[in-house]
Amino acid sequence: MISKHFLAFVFLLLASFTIVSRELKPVHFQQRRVNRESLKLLGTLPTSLIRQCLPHRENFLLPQKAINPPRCSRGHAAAVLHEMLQQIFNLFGADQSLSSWDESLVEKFLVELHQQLERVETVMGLEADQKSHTLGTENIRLQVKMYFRRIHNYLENQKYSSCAWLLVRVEINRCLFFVFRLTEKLSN
Amino acid sequence: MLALLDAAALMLVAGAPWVSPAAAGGNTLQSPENVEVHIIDDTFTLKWSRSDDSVGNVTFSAEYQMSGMDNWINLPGCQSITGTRCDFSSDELDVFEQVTLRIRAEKGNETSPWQEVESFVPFQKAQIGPPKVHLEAEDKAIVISILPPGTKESLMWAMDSSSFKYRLVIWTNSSGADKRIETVYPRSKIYKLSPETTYCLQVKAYLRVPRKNGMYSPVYCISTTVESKLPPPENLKVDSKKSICSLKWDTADENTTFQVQWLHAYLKKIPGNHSDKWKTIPGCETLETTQCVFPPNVFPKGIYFFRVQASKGNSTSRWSEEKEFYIDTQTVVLPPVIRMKSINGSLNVYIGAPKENKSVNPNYPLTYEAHLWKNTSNAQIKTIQTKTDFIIPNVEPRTVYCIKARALIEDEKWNTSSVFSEIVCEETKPETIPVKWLIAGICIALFCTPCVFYSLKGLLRCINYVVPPSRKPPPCIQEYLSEHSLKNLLLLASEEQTERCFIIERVNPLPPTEEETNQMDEDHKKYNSQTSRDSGNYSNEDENSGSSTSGELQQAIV
Repeated sequence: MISKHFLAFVFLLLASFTIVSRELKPVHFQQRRVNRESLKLLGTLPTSLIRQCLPHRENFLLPQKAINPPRCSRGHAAAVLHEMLQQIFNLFGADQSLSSWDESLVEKFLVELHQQLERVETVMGLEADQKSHTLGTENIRLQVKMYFRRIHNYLENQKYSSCAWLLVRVEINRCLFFVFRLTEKLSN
Repeated sequence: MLALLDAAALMLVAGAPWVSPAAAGGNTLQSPENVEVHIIDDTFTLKWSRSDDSVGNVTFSAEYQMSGMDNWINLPGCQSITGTRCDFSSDELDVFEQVTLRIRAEKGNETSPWQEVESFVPFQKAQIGPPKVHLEAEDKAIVISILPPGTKESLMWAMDSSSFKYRLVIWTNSSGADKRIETVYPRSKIYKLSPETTYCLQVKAYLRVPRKNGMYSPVYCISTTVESKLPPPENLKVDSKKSICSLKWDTADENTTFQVQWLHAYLKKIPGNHSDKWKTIPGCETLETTQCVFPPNVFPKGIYFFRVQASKGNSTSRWSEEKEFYIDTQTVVLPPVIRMKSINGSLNVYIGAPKENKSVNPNYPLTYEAHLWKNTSNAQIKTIQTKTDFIIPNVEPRTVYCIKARALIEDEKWNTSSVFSEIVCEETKPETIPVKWLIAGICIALFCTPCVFYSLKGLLRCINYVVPPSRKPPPCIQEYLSEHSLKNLLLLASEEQTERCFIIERVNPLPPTEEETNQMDEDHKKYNSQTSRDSGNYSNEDENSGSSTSGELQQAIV
């Protein structure tokens, strides 16, 4: 009980520390809401289940270089952000086998995620006309897609067990941390 | 330079195997030409043309190589093909990985050189196929259900099934020219149609970013039904005042009751039927008014769909148009508080948040839009978008300027703004010409006064040092000083006396005669011994006068 709250607290702390008092944009703010909902979702996990699921862990090979490049252009960050959000939305939204989850929490998460996705698409839709932003981002998008395909395949192989979902949730949470940092880069 | 040479060498090495079979073979078979890959959804097709039609019994075989692989693998579905196309749809090919294909002609043991196709990523090359569409007619609307392109097990679009957006073209059967284009969700309704009319439509799927257009579906036609007696409510709109949100609509019928339902907008993006997910708003199940006030805390900030249904007696209308709204009950933006001050030819405007601004979500940065006008003309002269206080320079003197401002939430998609603040007016001051100079002058003066004061004081001190004022000691001291013994005591072994003696010798302007000099020497000695008994201060006057003429000095001393 304590550990899970502590985890959430640490994450929130980390998230809030990364905010520098600069001109902050709505995308960045909305991402904070998304992350918060994700953490709440994670916070409902019973500790006993976490221990039980440890042997099922899997390395999903998060494309670190694509997600967290030392230097990256606005177009790059926007593409990764959009693809990640889209894929997370697909993962959580499309699957009907989440019955064991707290539905209202998933719903809240999806509501925030959807808003963020709409927002990012609106921003990118305006920029897409300039074309220059989409150049060179195709490969990054593919890497993200492949990463999420590994997650989908893992879930399928594990027959969507509660353990598999738990580990995926943790993984997504990790992902969102990088996404948050991307929005930070974007908002500067 | 070295790198270039290396690159050239590499190219030679790499190119060698391709050159050799063609050169060494010397065979008559020629490679196929115009080799092309076509991918629509999960269907992969390889097409080519024969280079030489005269040669019979020629078959074609293809191989593929994924990125990072060294060896070539037979392309399934494209082995010993007699025609000029083959289907190589297969689970083996990773749609996100780069693949290279090559094909050659074969006849018995004879083979042509390989013809390679430029490497590609299947996902990037793939075209979006036509979606499958299902239609249902109402009197003034058509319900459309769209299945995403590809099959349910599609590998190509598996990661993008809910990223698709759909564009629809609809027209009446009678007038084919008048086409209407709409962007629709996988499951939505097309409104504003006429009853008992045949409509035809086509749908295509597309990906928004990066933009990828799909192929149009075949044309589907359907006729709308007879107009129902009870029309559904119309013109749904959300009204948000202060912290209360409400949904309003229009109705043509009287004595009707209404029920309102809502749906999370994200569900619209997910393919499938979500008609069971619509929920009734508590308190808005059987309304007699054309307004539903949302109970607080039912709708957290988000995007929602609403629909209303009218009931009269036993009959119920169809559902109204499903309208999408962005509800943000928590974020009610209150107008800012403004102050304006006229300062030398410019207006300083200060913007502050209202005190009771607790309702505003701190997550949103506010922008202010200020409108400035002259009181006399009422015509707006300036609109300013700002985040902080600002200065309006170069305003006319003796003019009343008025300003009002409102707060905006900076957002690309959803614009929320407060009402305008109270109007604040301020008369600019008359033009005083050198106000700057005046201020500068005062500053300089203020700065200089202590400087002057201190420098004067310093100067005075110097003067005092060089020319000390003559002061007589108090009479009691004078009494003491008159006594001889004390005089001797005071000036015992003082070096100054010899110096003083020297000074007086030099000061003497008239060169005395020999006689006089002798006498003078004696006198000086006398004087010396006498003056040296005095204190310096005391003898000042005497010294001064004594230095003028030695005669007087002598008298004075004696």
